[in-house]
Amino acid sequence: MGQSAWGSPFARSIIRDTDGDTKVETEKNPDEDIVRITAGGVEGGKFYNSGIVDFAGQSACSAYLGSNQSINNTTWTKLQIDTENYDVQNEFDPVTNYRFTAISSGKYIVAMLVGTAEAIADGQGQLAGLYKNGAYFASSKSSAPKATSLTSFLTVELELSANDYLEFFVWQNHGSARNMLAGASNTWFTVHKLS
Amino acid sequence: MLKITVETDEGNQVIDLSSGEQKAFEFVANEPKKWIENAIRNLVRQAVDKIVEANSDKQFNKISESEKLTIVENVNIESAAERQARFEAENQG
Repeated sequence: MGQSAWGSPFARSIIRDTDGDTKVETEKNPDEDIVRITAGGVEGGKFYNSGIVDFAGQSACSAYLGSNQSINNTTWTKLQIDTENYDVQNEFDPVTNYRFTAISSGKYIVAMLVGTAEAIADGQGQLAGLYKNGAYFASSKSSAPKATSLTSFLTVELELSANDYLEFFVWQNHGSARNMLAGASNTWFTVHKLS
Repeated sequence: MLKITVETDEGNQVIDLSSGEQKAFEFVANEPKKWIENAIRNLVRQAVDKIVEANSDKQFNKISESEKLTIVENVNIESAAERQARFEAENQG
């Protein structure tokens, strides 16, 4: 008598919706040991066997001041940040209003750095400020121990609802207008959605 | 009370917020009118960029806003309402 052996015909496993564009795949490529999550045709997550998790489409933005900007004395002024490093979900407008507008509600972490191109007078200061929905939210101050250029750094974690917007401001009281220093290392912000 | 009126070719739509709702809105947004305008204009900005990216060989962050709008005005695309109508017609069961 002969014997038969039956093996599983499945080389990969998929959970998917009716039209196949939303799915969880455990073996898209042979033995890759990666769990892939796709929604509406967009692969948004990967879980590796190292434990590393990718969220390629997660909201994230980084941009900087492309050219020096003059800031009047004792006047909160919005930074015209016009040069993007990246903007994954196109949430930042670097052309019209220099605003980050959140697509999705959640918790975000924001960091910003503002540097002066010129010295601030002894005893005077500079503040980096974050505005949310047109109102002051948080700031960080640097004071000049002598006439010197200053850098102010601010980082906050905050909750945003969909369509809430952030703007990046600066204030200084040197006594006259001062230039904020352009450049990816000098005056910039980043926003990343945590959850 | 806050009344928001949207005028369209198909007629006006009015959104009425009670005094309590208005107070809540003003708690989270410095100027509600500006928040509403920003929400709409940002959505439109992103949609324009998506249409340009999907329907031309241009990079949306390399061309002017007027050039983008010219592309959008001249391209043949299905509106959300048309997509919905097509979906409903195709899924009559």
